Amino acid sequence: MARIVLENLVKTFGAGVTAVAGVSLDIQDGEFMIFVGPSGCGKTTTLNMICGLEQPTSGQVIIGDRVVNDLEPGERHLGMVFQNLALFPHMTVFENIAFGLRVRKVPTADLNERVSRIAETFQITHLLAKKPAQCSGGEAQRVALARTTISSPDVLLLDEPLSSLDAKLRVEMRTELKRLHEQLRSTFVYVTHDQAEAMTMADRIAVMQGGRIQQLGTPLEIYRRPANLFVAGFFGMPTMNLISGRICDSDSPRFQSENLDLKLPAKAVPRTGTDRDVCIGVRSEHVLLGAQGAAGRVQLTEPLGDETLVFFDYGGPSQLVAKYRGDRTFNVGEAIVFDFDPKGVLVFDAEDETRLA
Amino acid sequence: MKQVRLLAPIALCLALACTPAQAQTLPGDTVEERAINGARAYVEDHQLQNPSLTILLISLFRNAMPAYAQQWEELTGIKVNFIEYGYTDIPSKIMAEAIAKTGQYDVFNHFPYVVPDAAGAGVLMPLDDYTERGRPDFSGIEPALRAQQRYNGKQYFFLLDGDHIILVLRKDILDLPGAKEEFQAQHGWEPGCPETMAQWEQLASFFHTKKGDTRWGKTFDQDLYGAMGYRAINFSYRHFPAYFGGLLFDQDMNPLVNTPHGVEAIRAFSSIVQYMPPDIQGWGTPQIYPFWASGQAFSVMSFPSIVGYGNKNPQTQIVGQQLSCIVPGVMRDGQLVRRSPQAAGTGYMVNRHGKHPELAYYFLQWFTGPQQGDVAIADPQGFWDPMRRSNLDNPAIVEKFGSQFIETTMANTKYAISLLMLEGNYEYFNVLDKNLAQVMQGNLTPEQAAARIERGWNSVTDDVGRDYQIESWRNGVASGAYLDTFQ
Amino acid sequence: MVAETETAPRRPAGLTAWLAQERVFRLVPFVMVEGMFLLLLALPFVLTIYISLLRWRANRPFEQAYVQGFVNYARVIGEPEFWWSLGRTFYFAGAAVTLELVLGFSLAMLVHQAFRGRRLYITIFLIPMMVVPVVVGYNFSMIYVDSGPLNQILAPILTPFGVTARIRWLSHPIAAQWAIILADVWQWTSLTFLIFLSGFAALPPELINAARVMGASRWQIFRRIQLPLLKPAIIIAVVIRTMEALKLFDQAVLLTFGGPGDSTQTIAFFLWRQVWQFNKYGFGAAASVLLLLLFSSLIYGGIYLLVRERALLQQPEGRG
Repeated sequence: MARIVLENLVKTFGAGVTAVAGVSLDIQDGEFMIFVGPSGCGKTTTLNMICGLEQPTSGQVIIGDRVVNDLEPGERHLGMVFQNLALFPHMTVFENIAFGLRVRKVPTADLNERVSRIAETFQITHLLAKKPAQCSGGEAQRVALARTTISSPDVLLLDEPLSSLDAKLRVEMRTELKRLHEQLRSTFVYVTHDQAEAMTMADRIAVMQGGRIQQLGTPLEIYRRPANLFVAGFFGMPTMNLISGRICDSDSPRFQSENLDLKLPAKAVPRTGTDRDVCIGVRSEHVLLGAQGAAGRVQLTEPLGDETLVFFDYGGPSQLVAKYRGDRTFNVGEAIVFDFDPKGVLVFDAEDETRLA
Repeated sequence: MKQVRLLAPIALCLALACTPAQAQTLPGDTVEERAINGARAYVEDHQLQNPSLTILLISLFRNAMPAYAQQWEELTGIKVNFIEYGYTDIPSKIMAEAIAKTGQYDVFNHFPYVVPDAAGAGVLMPLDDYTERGRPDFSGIEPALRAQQRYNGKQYFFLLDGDHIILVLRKDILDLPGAKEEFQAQHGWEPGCPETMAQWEQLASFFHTKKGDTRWGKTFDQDLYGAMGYRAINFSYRHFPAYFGGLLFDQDMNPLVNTPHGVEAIRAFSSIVQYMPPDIQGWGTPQIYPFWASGQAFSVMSFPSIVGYGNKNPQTQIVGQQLSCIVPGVMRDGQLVRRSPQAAGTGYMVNRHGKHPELAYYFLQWFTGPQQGDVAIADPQGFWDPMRRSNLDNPAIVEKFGSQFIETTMANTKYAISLLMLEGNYEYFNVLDKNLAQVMQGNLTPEQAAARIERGWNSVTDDVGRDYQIESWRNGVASGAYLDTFQ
Repeated sequence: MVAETETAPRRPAGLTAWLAQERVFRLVPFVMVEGMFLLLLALPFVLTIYISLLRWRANRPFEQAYVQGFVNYARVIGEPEFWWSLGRTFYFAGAAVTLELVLGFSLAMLVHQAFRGRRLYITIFLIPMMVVPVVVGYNFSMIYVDSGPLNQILAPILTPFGVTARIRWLSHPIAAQWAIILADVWQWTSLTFLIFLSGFAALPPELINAARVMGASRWQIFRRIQLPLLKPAIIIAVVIRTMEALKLFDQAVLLTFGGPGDSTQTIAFFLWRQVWQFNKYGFGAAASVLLLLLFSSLIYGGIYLLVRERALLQQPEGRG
């Protein structure tokens, strides 16, 4: 059983550097939990505290039903895959995989058995006699996973394991990891700065910034109902359109900014949202290019095949982007008319940047 | 007749050309004056601008030498520069000069035993032509020391240092109440300067005292070692001839060490080590002099300058307590034979490849002359030891060394002998040193060592060239450098 | 005829023009580099080989020397003292380098783990290396005097075991050998320390973390991860120190002058003595050629090991 509970974890380094500023989290047994955030947000430090490589300054780490603060990493029944895999360069792939069993003095026959079985699972039997330096990136990745999973850990910690791979392989490996999780059914805690990885693999995502969890939720919750401007801006490709302005008239609400005056459906605007400074966020797929609305001028297009990203200027401080599905082609400099799909408009408080419910 | 007729004009020409030069002696009443005049004339004749000489100097003399350099410059206008090295490095510099012929040195400062190799290599200027005109004065220098200045019949070296070994005892210990009587009762002679090495060993054994013992009314608060001497590698060979008391080779360069007499010398040389400080085999002068001055030994066989050190060194504990002795001897055929090897003996040589060998020569003649040389010997900063008869009456020298020491060392001079004046002598020395060390460490018996030394010496002789060595050896023996003659 | 004259290459006149040709001009730097190489390395080497073939003692003018073939080589090989000195040198080097490795490694490990005062420790431990060998020799000759500081420090340790603490560091044949070894260790542990410290610093912390997570103990991490990964550093330290230790000379001259007897005569000192004291130039040249062959084969052996180790540890850049 490997439910992980973090209770108000704090980690400070030296004087005044706070890496983790109070993280509380309940990770369910068998869950695929992803910590995501920009570098320096505290996600790796949190992972290291779960693992035991870092001692929390205060707070508790509970794995299963034990408080593990004082346990060595090796005593916590977990496995970890490191950012650059950390395969031992002087050992063969076999020895790398066997290392965890060897240090625990597993009998040789049993050890050989288990290594060859796991090698088959990961399809790396042909690599066993090689050194890590002789493996390709994908092969090394599988070796690292085999090494980590051979001792059937209750918890698997993964620290940006895909970051050194090229784009194509990274996408393939996502699927493999997801499948692995389904096979093992052990708890995965995964750290990444790549929101796409988080979206595609996670059961739940903890978005971190400034040593705190900004939002905890399923990928769709986070995508659709970001808790604040940071989360909204962090997820989604291209980045969500954000426009500062003001909403007035609660009966027939209008969004007004310097160069924009849009009518919004009443449904889209929360009650608390009127007559105050706000920031609205609209994802590109909710920006409609059509016959009515405000005027803009095309600045750049990025055809993605089935759809096209249209970057346009509407006279505001920054340009907007629309994801257009259709046959029409846009030329740079062309005048367009745009509108927002009411169900896609999110309203954030301009002061504390939280989303207004 | 035909030949004579041909040769006659040539002979005449030669006679005409050479005679005036040969007859011409430099003006001046003293050795020093002639040297100064010679140097001045040379500078004038050759119209030298800013003449200078460079001396390859033993670094020990770096403090004493500049005053004389300045004096020479004032007298002659010739500047003297120094390039200093430790004395162990200088022979290799001289030999390198023999090959490189750079002329960067005019004068070499080292010991007589460097002469054979250097002269053989052709780097030393034979000085006989110059002495002919400069007429240096070696009177008052004992024949063996004088002979050291020559090699194979030519003069290469000007000596200024009577560096033959002496024995020094501790007067204060000898005079402890009852000590002399007790010793006499045991050994049958009144303790004092010993006649023989065997007697010295009796003294050493008798006075060797453990820390804490009370003898003759005195409690010794530190160990008193009966004897000290040079037993380290590179030093043993300087002392061994005193224990041997005779020529080391016969007239055909067969070593005489592997004989009952030689074996006995080796035994005596190593036997007395038991009364010396345990570390003696690792000690050179920097360890031996301070240890002696600290009062922890009864006797020491050493370079004569140890007496001055014992009296003048700021840390010394034995001021006025040193009794200088003539070197003890060995009995050969019922005769007492004393031999005091010239263990070092600073002197000066002229580089043949220098620009102005003659000019360099004049410096040698001036600096080592009877008057100027005595000034140097009296110099408190110098390490030149008395060597001329005249030193006995020189107040400054007597003041520096004390009359008892001077009288003893001058008496000792009569027994002074050269170290081996043979090419390859360092290798002969090394063979001796190594095997003596093995005996002192108990790894070889004196008999085995004697046989090894004989073998080693023969192989050096063969390597250098036996015929050549025989000739040099016979020349050296004939010159009186070793006092002894072939039997 | 006409066709032939037309196709014949045009020969530029003069040296400058010849040099100016592209295919020649680009070789000029190589010629200069090779020239320097020949001048600096090859020339003295060839000269040494030439001298080794001569019958020449420098107490005779060089003009009298003559080529006598390989006689000197035969004499070097037949000279027991050469072999004794060589063996002794390997013994000194082996003992000194082993101690330097163990001490340097231990110090580096401790300092690497220390959080406080690291800089200070590093500075202190590096001082000996900066001291001029002559000064080291002089200081040690005072330290080693049998009534001197070292024996006084050892006295309380040795006396309970019934050993008199008057070790004759400079005059007992075996103690003197260790006196030289220890002086070398004192001076050169700094270097191995430095090599190992940078070795430790270069170890990826993730590897150690990975091993910790897998449950390895400190000893297992040291034995199975750190030590094997430091192999290149160890080889570098061994090669550099062995090269230097085989040339051991200063301490032997300054502390014991090769004595007592010849018990501390190293091969470098043997050579020095043969050439500079005994003036046996031909013999010395032959001995140094033989030593050069021996030592360079050892060093190349070391470098070969190093290159092999490096190749095995190399991480290919940009996986995938």
